[in-house]
Amino acid sequence: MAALELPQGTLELLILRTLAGGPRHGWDITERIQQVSSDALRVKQGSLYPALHRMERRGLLKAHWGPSESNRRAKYYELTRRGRSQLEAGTSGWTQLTVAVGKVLEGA
Amino acid sequence: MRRRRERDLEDELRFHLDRAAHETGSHRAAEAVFGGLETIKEDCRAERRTRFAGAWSDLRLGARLLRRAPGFTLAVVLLLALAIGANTAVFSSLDATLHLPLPFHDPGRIVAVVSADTHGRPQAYNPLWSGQFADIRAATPSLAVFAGWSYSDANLSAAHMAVHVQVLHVTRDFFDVWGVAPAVGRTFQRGDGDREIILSGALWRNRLNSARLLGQNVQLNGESYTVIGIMPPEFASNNGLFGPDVWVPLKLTPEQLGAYDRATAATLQAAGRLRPGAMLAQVQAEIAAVQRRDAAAHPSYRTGRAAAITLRQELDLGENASVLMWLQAVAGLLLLMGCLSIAGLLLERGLARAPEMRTRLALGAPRRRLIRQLLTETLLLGLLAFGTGIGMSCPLLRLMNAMLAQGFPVRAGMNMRLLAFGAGTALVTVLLAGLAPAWQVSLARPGGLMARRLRGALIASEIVLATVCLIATATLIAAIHKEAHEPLGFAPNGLVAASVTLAGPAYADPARRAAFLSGLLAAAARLPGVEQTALVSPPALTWDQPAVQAQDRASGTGTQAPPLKVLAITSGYFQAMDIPRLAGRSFASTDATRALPVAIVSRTAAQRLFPGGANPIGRYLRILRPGEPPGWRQVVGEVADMSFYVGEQLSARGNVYEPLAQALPPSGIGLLLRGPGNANNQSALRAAVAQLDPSLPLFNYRPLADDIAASFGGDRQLGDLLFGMDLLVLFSAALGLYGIVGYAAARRRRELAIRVALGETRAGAVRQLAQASLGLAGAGLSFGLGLAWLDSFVLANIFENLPTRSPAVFCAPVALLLAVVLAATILPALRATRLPPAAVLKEL
Repeated sequence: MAALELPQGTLELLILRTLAGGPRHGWDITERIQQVSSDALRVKQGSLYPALHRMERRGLLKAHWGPSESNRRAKYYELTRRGRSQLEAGTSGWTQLTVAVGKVLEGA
Repeated sequence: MRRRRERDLEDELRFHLDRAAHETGSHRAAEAVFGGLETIKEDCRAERRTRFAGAWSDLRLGARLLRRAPGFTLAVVLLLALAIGANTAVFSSLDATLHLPLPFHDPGRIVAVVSADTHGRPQAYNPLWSGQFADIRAATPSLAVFAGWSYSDANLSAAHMAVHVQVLHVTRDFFDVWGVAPAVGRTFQRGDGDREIILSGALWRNRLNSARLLGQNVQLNGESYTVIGIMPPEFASNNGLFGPDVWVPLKLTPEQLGAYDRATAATLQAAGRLRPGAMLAQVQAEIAAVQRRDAAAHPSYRTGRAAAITLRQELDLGENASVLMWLQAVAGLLLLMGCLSIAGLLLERGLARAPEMRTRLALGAPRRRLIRQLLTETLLLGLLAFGTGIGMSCPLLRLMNAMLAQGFPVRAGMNMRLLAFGAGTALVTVLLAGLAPAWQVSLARPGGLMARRLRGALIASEIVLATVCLIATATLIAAIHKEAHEPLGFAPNGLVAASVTLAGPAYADPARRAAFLSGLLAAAARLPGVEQTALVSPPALTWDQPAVQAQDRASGTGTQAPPLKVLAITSGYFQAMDIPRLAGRSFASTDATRALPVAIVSRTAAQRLFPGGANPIGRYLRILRPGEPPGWRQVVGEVADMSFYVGEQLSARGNVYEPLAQALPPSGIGLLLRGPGNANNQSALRAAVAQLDPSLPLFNYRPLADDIAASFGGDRQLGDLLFGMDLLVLFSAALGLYGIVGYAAARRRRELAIRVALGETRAGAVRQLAQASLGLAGAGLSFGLGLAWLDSFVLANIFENLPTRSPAVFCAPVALLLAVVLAATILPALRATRLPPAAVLKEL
């Protein structure tokens, strides 16, 4: 299945949801999104890291360095309280939007 | 810190890359997926940067650029710093004048009531007639207290010391106006006796050696007074309102309290304190009502106009605030010129950077971002200039203080108001100077027609400003210079003057007076090194101006002459002063009390009294003063005119002299001594006077040249300050022009090199470069001349006695400016064309 284009603004929501389960590093986030979406969504690495750095500056994420599975130094991101509430708001907004868009597409 | 952040970024991305390589098995594929590590790094850095960090990097970039152009930076910082320094220095002086602390309780509630001129403009320290004072006091319920006072001088004997004192005669509620309690004792109370006296702290401490005097009797002009209080020293500080040594109760007769005319009324200065809740406007309305009533009740005589102003307003009116305002205006102009110069420099510099800007715009840099960066650079310049300017304002202040030792009250020193003023000035300047160039540079096509027009306008307006400023100040400087070289009509060098006051019951006896005065003259003549002596009343370089009438030859009636200064003198006066005799004779000892009354007139007085160029000798005049005998005086001599101070106008001159023996017995007597080496006679003279009368102090012993210098001091200082400002203005114009033309020349080096290589002469190349700037400067000069011409009429309105628009005053500044313009345009052009063309072409 070919990779879908991510609509604008959804990458942050995906990152927030992916980190809801606990801290992950950048590679892990890509893998996880790809895996959960059954290879439908592939995050462009060129957009992932700028997004992570932006979200860290805005206080949605916090980061710490720790050993990876291969025992190398890796940067782990996790949700802050602000990130968590942003995830809730973003999720309900997304759901409402998709339901509405779906209704329009089916009903017309 | 920054390095660690970079390493972390590298590690993080490298980790991802390695994992990707591991998964896909190929490093090359991972690179491709990743798509340019550096681009991602830059994006991450951009995301991390806050708005503040952007400003910080702008600032660092700006600092680097400024360091790389030290000449430009130095020129701009110096220009701005000069302007800021000058403005801050003048402002501090103005600030000190306007915020002079007043040693009174709640000084904002104190209202001064002064007489006004015919236009109703209040005149600081101008007194009211006593009748006017009484009427106003009776009809101003908004004033809780309304007190009046008048001045005199007297001899005070206390604790075996005799001192000359300034006396303030005050109404009993006087001290309630100021709300200041005495340091010891009490102030005057209603119903007390008249023979009470209050001493100033300064007099008591410095001249009466802090003697135990409270409750004691002292002698004032030979009459006994009881000391009831001593005021704190700061109360009588010399702020224009007071400066007296003692206060005594004012005595006014009922006639004086009803009088509005020169013959019977006393003159009083007056001030009151507002009742709680009352406003100044209420007092003004009440006074206006009094004046309307008086005008209706006494249509026969002219009622004086009065005006109520706050004490602060009165002090400001009386101080040199207007002169300082003038200086501040010149300083402001200097700042404006600095602005223009810097705008020009920035514009040129921006044009030189146009390719860089165009590239950045093409690469997608938002215009806002470019403007921000340029403004940041300008701001940085402003910050540097502010620091330097504040640093420079201190020496400038000291310089001003040194020059203004006796002129304006300048309290040097930094305060918040001053720093805020300096910072505000710097900020406004850089924003004004930086905005236009920044906007211009960020246009889609920087360096186009718009930029050339802007530059032209900048150069021309700078020259216009400089022209107007230089001509205006040259007019004032010329006026001051002329004043300084006006002949005085007498020779102050080698003259020493001193005063005594003959007052009190003891000197009511004419024989006693005459004995004392002849004793004084004889004692003075015996002093070593004294060649000529004379007495004059009023004392040297002060005058009395009673009405003088000339007798009409045919009818024998009197015609009033314009104001003339009347002096009573002894026979040696003209010799001592070195005033040439023009006709007739001088006074002699035979012009005694009972002899034929005589007078001598000066040249101008003769023309005023006896117009038509007739010989005044043998004509008659009379002096009208209360108590003066009604007879006519015969004119026996004519002498040259003299000025009493530097800059005295011809219209103010004209003296009438009478023999001291035939004058109404005056109290103030001046002694004049001329001779080599008589500067050390003060103590000998004091001793001689003490021998004649131990209760009579000699005072005000000083070389007469000091009085002349003091009368000119303020003007000379103003002249010097204006001259200093002019130099700054010229320097600013030169620096600005030089910078603008120099930058333009540097930018066109390649074009010039090609021209020269193709056979253009150097002179031709220089002409090419200088032509446009010189044309603009010429336009600026002519426009400036026109403005200065108009301005001279404004100046003539503000400053009296300005010389008429003389060619020199217009030509000299223009010539100077032209020289500066030529040098500032041709020098950089010459420099730019001196380089060998081949080298320039290769370098580019």
